[in-house]
Amino acid sequence: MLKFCGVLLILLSGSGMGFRAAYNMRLRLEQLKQLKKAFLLLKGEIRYSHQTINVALLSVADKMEGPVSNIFGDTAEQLDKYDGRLMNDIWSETLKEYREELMLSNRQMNFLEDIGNTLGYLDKEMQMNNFDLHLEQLNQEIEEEERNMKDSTRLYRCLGVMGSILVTLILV
Amino acid sequence: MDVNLIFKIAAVGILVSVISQVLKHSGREEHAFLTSLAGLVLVLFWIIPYIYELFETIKNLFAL
Repeated sequence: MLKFCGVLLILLSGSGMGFRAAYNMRLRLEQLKQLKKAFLLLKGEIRYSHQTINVALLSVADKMEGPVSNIFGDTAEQLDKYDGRLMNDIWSETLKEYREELMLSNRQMNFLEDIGNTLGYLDKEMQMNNFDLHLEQLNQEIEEEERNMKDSTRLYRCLGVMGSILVTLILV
Repeated sequence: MDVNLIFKIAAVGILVSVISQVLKHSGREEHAFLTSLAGLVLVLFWIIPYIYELFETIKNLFAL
């Protein structure tokens, strides 16, 4: 009976790990799409409403959900303090704070930090051009993730289940 | 020697071949090779004591 419970626990935990890894991949793609939507909204706010960067960030945060909304909202809050810190420092610190909630790879996180480095100090035209450049790169990231996702989710689920069965066989 | 060992070896063989195929299909051929190698090492680890016992028995039988 005890052996049976042990086997069941190993199978559940191994399969759970595989399914969780697959879920993280889907979440990553979803978060990349949310980031794209957020930056499109920010671009629109800057182009049409002529607000300061902190008001634009807060407006975007209100329209989004989850960690993306929190990142934009916290950055706007920090900017509102006017304590003399640079925009890119505030952006980097906020990203570090929400690193665990974002399922992005290191490369994607570095790319996100780079976007923050170009926020708020350029004139409107340059800012729009930068947004276009970064959105193009974000589109490529999303396409790459979509290509990898289907195979990778199936692989992780399969490996999770098979690996747990293998461990069970070794131990029993 | 336990009959269960034969079933365990068969199950490991099937699992290793399935995992190997899945990894090859995903383009991770080095991982597939390492998985097959790991399966082989595991089965050898189970089998070698019995092979040793076999040689010892033969040696004792013929008083070599």
